[in-house]
Amino acid sequence: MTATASAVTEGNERWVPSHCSMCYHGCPILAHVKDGVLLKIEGNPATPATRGRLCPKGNSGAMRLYDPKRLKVPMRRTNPEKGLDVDPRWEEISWDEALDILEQKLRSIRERDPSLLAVGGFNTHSWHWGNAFGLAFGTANCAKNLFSAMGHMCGNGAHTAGEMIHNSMNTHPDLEYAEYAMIVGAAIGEAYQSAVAYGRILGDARERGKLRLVVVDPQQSRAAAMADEWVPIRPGTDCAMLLAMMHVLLHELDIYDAGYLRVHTNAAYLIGADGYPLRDAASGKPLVWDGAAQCTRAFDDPALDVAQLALRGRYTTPAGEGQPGFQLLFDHLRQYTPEWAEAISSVAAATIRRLARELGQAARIGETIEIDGRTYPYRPASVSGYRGLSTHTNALHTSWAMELINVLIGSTRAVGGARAWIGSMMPQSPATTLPGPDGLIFTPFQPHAFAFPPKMIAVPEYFPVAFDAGLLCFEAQAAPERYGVTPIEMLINEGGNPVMTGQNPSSAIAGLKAIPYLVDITLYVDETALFADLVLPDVSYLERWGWEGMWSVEDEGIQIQQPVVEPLYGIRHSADVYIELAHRLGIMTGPLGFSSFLNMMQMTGGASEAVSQVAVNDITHPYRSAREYVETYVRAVAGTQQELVWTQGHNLQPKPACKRYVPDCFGGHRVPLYSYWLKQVGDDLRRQMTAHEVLARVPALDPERVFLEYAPLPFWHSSVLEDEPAEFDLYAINWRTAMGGVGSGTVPATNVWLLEAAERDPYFAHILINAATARRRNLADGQRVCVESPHGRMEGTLKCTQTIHPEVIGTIGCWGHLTDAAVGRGRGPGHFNSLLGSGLRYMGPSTLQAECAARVKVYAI
Amino acid sequence: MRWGMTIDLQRCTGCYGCVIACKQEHSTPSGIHFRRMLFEEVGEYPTARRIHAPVQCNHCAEPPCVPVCPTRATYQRDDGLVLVDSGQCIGCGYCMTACPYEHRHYVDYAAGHFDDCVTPHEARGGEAGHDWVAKQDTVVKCTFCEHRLARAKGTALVPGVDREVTPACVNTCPSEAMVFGDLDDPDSHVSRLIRERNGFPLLPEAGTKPSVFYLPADVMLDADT
Repeated sequence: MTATASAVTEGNERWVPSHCSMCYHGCPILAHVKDGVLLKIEGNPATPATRGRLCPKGNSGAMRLYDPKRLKVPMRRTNPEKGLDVDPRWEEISWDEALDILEQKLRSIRERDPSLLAVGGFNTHSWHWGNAFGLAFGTANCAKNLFSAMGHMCGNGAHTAGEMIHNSMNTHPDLEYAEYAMIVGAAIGEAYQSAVAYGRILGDARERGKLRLVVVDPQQSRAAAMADEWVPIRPGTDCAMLLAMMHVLLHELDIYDAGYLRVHTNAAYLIGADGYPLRDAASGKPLVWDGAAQCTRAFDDPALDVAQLALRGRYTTPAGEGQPGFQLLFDHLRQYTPEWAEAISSVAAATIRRLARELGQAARIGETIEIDGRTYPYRPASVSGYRGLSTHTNALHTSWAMELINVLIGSTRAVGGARAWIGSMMPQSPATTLPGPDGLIFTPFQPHAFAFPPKMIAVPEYFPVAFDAGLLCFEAQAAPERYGVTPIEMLINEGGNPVMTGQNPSSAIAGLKAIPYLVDITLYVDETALFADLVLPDVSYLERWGWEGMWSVEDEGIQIQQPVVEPLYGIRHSADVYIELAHRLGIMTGPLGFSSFLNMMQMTGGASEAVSQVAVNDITHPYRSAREYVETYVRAVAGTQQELVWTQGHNLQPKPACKRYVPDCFGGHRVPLYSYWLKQVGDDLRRQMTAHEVLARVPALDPERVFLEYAPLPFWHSSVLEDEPAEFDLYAINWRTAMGGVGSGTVPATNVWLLEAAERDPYFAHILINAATARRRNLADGQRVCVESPHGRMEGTLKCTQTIHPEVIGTIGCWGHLTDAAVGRGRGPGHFNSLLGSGLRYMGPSTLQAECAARVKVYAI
Repeated sequence: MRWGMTIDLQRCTGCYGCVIACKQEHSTPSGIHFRRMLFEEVGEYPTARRIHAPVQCNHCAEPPCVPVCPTRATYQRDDGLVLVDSGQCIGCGYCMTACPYEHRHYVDYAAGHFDDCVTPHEARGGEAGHDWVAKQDTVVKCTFCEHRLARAKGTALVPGVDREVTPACVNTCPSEAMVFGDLDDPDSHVSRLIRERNGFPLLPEAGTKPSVFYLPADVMLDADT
């Protein structure tokens, strides 16, 4: 059957408001449908951040909807043997048969142990349905990231650091006011936050003419090309440069925002010899040194003149000898000179000195600005970054160093400084951060509780601050005895294609093969589906109901997804499948039912967001469809704006200044300059692991690495790239652009319009190499080469350029698809992720951040 | 009245939003882009720069494609648009040779992007409603979204101001790098931008007098000097 033949004729014409899911930013759209055919997707002009604009991915949605390579009917495997080159011998079955199979499998598992089921994957803007189903089912193995590359391959390190410092998923520059923005490993306006919103915001900033933009990146992203300065750097060494910049600020320039540090951070808390705060004997509150009275006081003593708070020195107190956290940071940074960092990062010491000076001077420490009648600190300078900075094993400390620079110059959440990404999936973004212990902010991102043996196949019990742990599931499932876990018996994987998007296909394949029954809900029979026992076709984002799509950092409110066209081929949205199964299994209603958990997630926007207890759905009502849920949700949270949400698709409004900027947004709570919180997590983990003799019983854990990163201040440790054999003398990296991601988001490989445009682009679909490096190796532009790492290889066509670091080769995205499902099969520069190592050694010691670069050698073929 | 466009290279991020929006609007056959992205590298590592600029038909005031057309299929309207009457076009390709910008495209087969089917979107010719089967063996080009401009007739809608009657590439640009308007009106937004920002056309030496003007980026000037 062709797509044409199956299109539903409605005989009318309309513009349907919904939102995009071609990436996770969820820009609002209007879709023009005539006679049942989608003719055009445009940005929704009634949207503050995106203003009716749309990126190339959003503009290509019709070729996702109408891609004839989509899976159209459920199929079950008849060949028990599994492998990339094994024919599953699919048998087409009806939806009723598929649901009967699922019901029977699920009943059998639930009678024995619900946790033998895992529900995972990464289905953009449709992930909470499966999560709620798993929770109602009663399995511990239920999260939107399980058996998924999500987080690992992008911002695990940045997320943990951002949450720890200022309760933010990551940090980006406040370009509406910025005068100096240094961006490390992220292409703003292209693939860092919404390309749509930031294209305009960056354009406006450049037009104002006051912004100096510096982009640090091994290759010249479009953002770097447009920046005032591009600083090429060796991959995985950003932390060294950032630490050296702080060294320059404190030891050479004496630039820091003492006022901000005293009021909005714990920099003055006296830290004892054990690394923890000295505390008031009676109240237990952390002590500070009152320089005027020459005595200690509780940090919040109203008698304290804040200006007299000691940031430097060593003090003998009744609670013991202590030093302000700032003094400890000062001393700690002494070792990190620019000359030291040059040797590691390849960025010249003079450049590091200049950048630190420019940043410090641009911060305008002490100045204020009035917005909406309120006065805020004006610190129009920041350092921010994302994937390129975070996708190395030392990601936590790199991202943390980046965050700390902003804290030092008082720009974290200040006007023009480092902006937060928070509240992005809640009906309203929170007014302030919540109070945590010791006067600090509360981060809803709490360490995972210890248990032995671990309850989850992702073993977060061993990695309490890892933001996502999906890739480790494959390792643990393949070798459960090495991790001390019980393997699962059934996985429902929805969205994502971890065979291609994980660190190395060998890891996911070993894990998938070890799962007795795999259900894959997928748009295509992709490489992961080849290992499934049952495949169910997924709807595209243009055919479904949803409420999960608010990811803009600029606006707040709700937006909905509604079918632009009726699902093609009679495909059922997974949400409706879960609802049907919940009814059959009797887990629909009640406090632990499907609708109850869904209610929870609708209000919290997921585990990392602040919690509200407001009910948005009736947990006693036996809902029958995703549509009914979404309608109830809108009724409950949109109040008088329900009609607006249905006619406009959203009720988004710009976040007010008071929710964005310090001091209002902190609500009087402080951010940590000295993170004894992280030290405490590590000390607790060590105590628990010792008590349970975990290291002796879990051979997978490396005693040298498992506690490494739980320090109170960021320190330099090299990424695993530096431990690879010397014969692999180049670095290989990949990156995303507005046309495509690096994951199963390899959008050009699965979207025919983007593929076509990518293949006409001189950089896309090639292997980029520095022209001088190529010359020295007798390699030429257009030549076919093999890139070989210790873990795999890829073959492609060279593009010689002056715009990449001489020690680095790279590709945009990740190609190399093997199944017919991808239009890009056999195109592009091969499968980048095959170059990557896998397993714990190639993940961040505490974050499980995947090392997404490799050491390679390149030779002609 | 002469429709024209400015493309601000200081704002353009080279994201391809316009390229794919054009593809979507017109559902052009495989291999045909009315709008493309050009790249060039200037300088040497580490001070080298990648420069990008979107390009399309310039709807020239002195269009070299018009006089060479043996059937007068290619014509210039009073409002400056250079269009092709596909019913008159015999696909000889003289215009393709004449265009110094390579913005004319021969439809050698009207089939879609997939081997085994034509998708409903392709079959409808996108929002513009092209009959690509009828246009097989003819030469096609950017229409400045003439079908959108036409909707302004008899309404208060203004091309370049109101989305409904503005070219798709202009509407979608995330960085709002493009402005569309009347070049003959010295007070129009495009005219003012060209004046104030020293807007320049491509290949002025070809004498074609393009209607598409580029506004220079500081970075680009730096790289040139």
